[in-house]
Amino acid sequence: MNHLATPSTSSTDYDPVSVTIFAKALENIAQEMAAVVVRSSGSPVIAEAVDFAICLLDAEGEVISYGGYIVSYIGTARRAVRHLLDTVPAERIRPGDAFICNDPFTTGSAHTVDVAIVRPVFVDDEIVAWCWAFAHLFDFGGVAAGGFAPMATEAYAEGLRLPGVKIVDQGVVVDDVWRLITTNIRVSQLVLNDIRCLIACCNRGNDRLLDLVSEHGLDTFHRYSVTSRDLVEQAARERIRALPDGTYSVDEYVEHSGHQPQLLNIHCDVVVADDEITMDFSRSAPQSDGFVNCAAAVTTGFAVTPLFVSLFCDLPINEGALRPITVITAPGTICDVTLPAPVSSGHMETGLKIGKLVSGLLADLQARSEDPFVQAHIMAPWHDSFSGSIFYAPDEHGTLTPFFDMNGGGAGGGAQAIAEGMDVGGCLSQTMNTIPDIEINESDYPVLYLWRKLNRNSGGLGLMRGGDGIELAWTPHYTTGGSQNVFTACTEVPPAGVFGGYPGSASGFRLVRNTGIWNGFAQGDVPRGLDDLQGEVVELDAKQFGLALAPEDVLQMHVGGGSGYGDPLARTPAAVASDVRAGIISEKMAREGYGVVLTAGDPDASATDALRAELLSGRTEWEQERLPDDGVLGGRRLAVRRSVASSRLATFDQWVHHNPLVHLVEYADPDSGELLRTELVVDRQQHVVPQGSAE
Amino acid sequence: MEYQIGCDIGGTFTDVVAVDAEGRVYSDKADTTVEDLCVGVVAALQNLALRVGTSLEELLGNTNRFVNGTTSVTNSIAELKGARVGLVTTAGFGDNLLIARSARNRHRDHNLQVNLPQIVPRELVVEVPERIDRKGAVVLALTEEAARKAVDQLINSGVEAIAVSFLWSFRNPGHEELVAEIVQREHPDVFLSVGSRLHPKIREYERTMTAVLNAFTGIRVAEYTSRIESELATRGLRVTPVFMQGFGGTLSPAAARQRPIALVDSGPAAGVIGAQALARRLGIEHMVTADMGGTSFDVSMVRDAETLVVERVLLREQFLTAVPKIDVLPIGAGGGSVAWLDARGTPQVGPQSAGAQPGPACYGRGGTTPTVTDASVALGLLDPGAFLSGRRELDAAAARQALQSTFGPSLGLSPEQAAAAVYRLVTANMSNGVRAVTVERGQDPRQFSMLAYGGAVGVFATDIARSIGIRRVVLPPDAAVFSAHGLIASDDVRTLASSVNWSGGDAAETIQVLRHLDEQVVGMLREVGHPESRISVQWQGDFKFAGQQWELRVPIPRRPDLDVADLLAIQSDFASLYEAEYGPGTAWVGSPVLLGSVRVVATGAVDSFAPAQVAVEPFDVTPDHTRTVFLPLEGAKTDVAVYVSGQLTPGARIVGPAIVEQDLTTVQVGRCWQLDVDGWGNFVMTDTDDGSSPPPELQREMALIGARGELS
Repeated sequence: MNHLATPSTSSTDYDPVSVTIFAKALENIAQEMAAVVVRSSGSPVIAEAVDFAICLLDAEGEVISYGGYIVSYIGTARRAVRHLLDTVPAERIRPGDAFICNDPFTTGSAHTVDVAIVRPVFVDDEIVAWCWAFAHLFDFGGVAAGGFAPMATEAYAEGLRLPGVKIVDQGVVVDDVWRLITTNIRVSQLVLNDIRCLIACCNRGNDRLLDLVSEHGLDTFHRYSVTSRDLVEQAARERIRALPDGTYSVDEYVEHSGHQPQLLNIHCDVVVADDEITMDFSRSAPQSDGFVNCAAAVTTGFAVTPLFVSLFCDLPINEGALRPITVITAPGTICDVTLPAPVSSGHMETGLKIGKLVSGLLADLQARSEDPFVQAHIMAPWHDSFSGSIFYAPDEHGTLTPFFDMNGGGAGGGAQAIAEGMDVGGCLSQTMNTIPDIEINESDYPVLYLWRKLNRNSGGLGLMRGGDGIELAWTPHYTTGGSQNVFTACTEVPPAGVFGGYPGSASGFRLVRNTGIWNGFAQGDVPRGLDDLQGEVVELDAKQFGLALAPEDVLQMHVGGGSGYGDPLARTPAAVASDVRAGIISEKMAREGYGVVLTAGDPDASATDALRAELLSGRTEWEQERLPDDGVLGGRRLAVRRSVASSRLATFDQWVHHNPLVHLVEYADPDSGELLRTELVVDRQQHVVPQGSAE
Repeated sequence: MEYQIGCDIGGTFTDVVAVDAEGRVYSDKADTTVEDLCVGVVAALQNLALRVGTSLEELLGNTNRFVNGTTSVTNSIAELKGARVGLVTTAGFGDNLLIARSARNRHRDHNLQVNLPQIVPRELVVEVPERIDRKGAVVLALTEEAARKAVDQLINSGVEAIAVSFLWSFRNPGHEELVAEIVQREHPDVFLSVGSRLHPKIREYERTMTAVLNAFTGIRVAEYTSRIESELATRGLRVTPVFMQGFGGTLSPAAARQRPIALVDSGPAAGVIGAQALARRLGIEHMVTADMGGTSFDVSMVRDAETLVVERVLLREQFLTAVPKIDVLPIGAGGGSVAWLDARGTPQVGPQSAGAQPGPACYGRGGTTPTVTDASVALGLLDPGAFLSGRRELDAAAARQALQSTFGPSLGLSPEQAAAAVYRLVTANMSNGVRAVTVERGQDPRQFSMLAYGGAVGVFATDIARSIGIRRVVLPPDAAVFSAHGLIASDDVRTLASSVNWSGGDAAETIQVLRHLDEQVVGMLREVGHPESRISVQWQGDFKFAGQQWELRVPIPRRPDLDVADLLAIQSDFASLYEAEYGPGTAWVGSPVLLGSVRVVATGAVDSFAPAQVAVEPFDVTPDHTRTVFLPLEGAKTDVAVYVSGQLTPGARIVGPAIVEQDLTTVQVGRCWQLDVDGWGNFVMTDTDDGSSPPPELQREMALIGARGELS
């Protein structure tokens, strides 16, 4: 059990202006700490992908301010401080100390390259607060460079684990720990540099917190700190109270363990009761012997992320927002890993799927709220998957540098009540996601891109369209060729849309060998898609490693789109026509998915009306089913269509990897034909949940 | 008598300042006329001529320099009103602007995470078969036929402007030039914008966005500059007006028409350039500039007497462009900023603004939501009868009513207490802005003075400064029109940059690029009449450690015999330069040092008329009257000395708390601040608090106890 809630003390009398200014001062401290990291690191992972976070916690480990570029690591921050409090004797924690934490099993890191420094803040002999600063570093040892180890069957292969080890002792760096790290990791110079940045960052946090304490006095500091959490808690409870009470069950699926394709069930039982939410993941699949498992703290982080960007998006992030939420996990499952199972991609696999599961449910609940703020923030799930592509090849000087293509962060965003989904939005939790310039990648690595565009038709159908993912292809250039790894987490089970919106296309890779592309260039031919290339197109497995890539070979990455919002037959024909003219969707999708017929690029009004009427009446002829009383559509009799997802989506000109067990279920009003809901369902009669061999 | 005139067109007012050859300064303003900016300019100049005591024709006829800062480009982008633009780009990459490097932003609220508006509709993006690689080698040759077909397609779609931007064009501009020549030859009336001409540097997204926005704003700017030239000429101006750029320095109308995007945000830049001139005059090295108007508080800094110029700029918080621009941080805190209660029930101020219509409640134009100005009125800091020299009567009762109805019911605050809350919050927001540009960039604000200007800043300046440890505030005599004055101080500047690729070894090509840029920019200045002797040129290089994101700008000696040894010397010093900027231990020791781009900046010195200085002898001044003010940080009513316009002449010295009512602005002098009027008429305010009185937050806390005692 991992309860987030500790009962709050009722806030005493307070001056709201002083508390507001105080809360801003705390945010400033987190911001200033972040500036220290960004300015002094220079690492592209930190500066461009902003893969780091800052947290201030009180003496007991409650979050008082979170400077999150990546919101989902809040669970990790709390876990790390909790672990230090529980395991390090109080007399061994002294002013000027700092601890290094990256162990998924004790300090809640997602994987070993996510390294945090934790520093206690002392006033005289008393700990008054903690600073926590984390960043994704280049490497932390283990069998795979860079921290993602699909080949691992145990965590022991995934790098050096440090469960809160003192790295600075009363202001002096502990040389033995430094030497231990240096000995066990790759590119140690760069990694140690970033660790120094994190220490400097926590030092700055310490100084600023002490300034704040001396400005206010310790009692006032505590009082304001408690009050600002209580105020956030009250507001968070108000927002939850706006959601309908009820009990819901939601499922998602991890698709591939790293060793083999297999569907691993994430099951969540949700209870919304008055002003509290409980999310119970304990009936999820047993942990796997592949790298997809999550630490409980990471599960917590991903479960609360959709709330932070939606229901609570205007509230500061602190413990108060977490109090009304309870996350329950069972040790030994993919959502609460125990040794020795591996974890190095757990956040990218199980974690992101948890986020999508909560996003989808939240949208359903928000829709039944009267609160205009809650209504305006309804959003379909994002595609929320990062496509990993690593090419390792010598350039023309023989220099070998691994090329990690950050275009993999090009997944589509979910459609919103107020807007289309964001194209190329990346993952929901990464608010500052960026995609590289083609020229930067080509200048640093031996590749030539043939195209990079929006992945046509990838956004889910809907009244509001899901955001498109990215699609690109490149060929080795200025190299004799090299080795290629690909890994993606969402090829078979994209998240469903909301209120009759559809899922988007899924993500994958394709390889074409011996394309004859240079002959084509010489003759003035431009390939505009895989169809223009010679050679057979091979669809790659969701995770494939060590592919040999030669000049003239072409690798295509196609990243999935976000889910749609609302019945696509309600989308205005003009908007559909505009998307067709822009080349974002095909005429086939316009016709089959949106029921819009175009003549010379413009909607043909009468043909469109006729086609839409036909599609609507077709839906009323679907087989009728009475739905169970619990659940979002509670007990209604609806027209239901069940089909294999890959085949059904192909009729709209979309793609997901074919798996006959994955079904798309569409629910329509049996009288009007209005589409009310879509779901992705795995045929569990056919599907045997594999047992993790790590147990 | 000869004059120089600065004219700053802002969102609400058009400000004008004239300085004569003997250093006398005159200023005035008129409403900005958005539909035709020239009307407001002429109206403001007519007001100015009255101040000078002459006719408009006489004034303009004797003007030897006319500098204009215009919002034309900024407005065009803000309102997304501009030309119908077509884009010609590399086949396979036509979605570049839709992909937008991922349009994610700092907001956690997903309602604010949406796609960017498109300057070029996707149908007007034409892909042509061409490709150049990273070495500049032609992978796929562009044929003239394909180029013409693309241009014709856009022309047939009715575009008014064409942007051309190809991958790697900065390495090999041949293909872009082929398209450009067709447009120039066959469609000379279509505005043309070429990526490699505007910004020959790596990163295609911002290069393309720059070309596109340049095309988008070009026609408007061409119309505006031509109109203002002729409007002023018919009224007697004999010199060509020049236009302020966003990074400082002026451009001729012809150059502005080539590169309209350079004019973006020139208003805020002018203020900072003026601050720089003032800082030099007063011998101040480090200065925070704080400009508070009706809707925003703009902060920047002058460090070692230099402005802070950035090159990657996010315009409209959406469009990443490569326009060199003075780095100004806008905070949503102005006189019109609205005060409200958030979801937690805690009070907030801004960033929304009541704008000019309906404006603050006290303007009596139907506004009912309380604003920062309403709070100042309710506190007694602003005299309702003395606002803008009495030109606008303020309705104090309406201000109090607005505060009462928003904060009274849930917080139980009196109008004064609510006003104090608004004052404290907006001061904290502005203080955070100052913190962001200093502390978060590694600067200690205590080393800085603050130059405060803009119509609304006077009330807040000393309290903002004290909250962040700044002990000297300078408020210029023409604070309300300071940006216009800054224009006059600006030299004529041209700059060009280019990507290079040097990491050691032969540097001949890199040096050749520098010389070529040098010839170009110096040529531009000579063309507009600057003699060689008055042109100064700086060379700069952007160096970084291989694998890093950040580049550090390093001066390169401008010598005819510059050779590889000079570059190697910078390379070997780089680690220490880097650590001086980012802190000890941060250099990536062992990583190769790369030179990625070079820039040449040429400045043509201009003889600006400076304001005259008089010798001063300090003297004390007796207040005109006293007024009861609810001092917001002290939470109590106090009788405060009030000084009026004309009382504070050079040499005057007063000590706060005090209020000074100037023609266009009101100044609050905080407790323990000493105000001295210097020989130019600047208010130089110094914090004389020796630290023995309690820190401000504690004062507030103590005040609160008092306030609560009254409540309960």
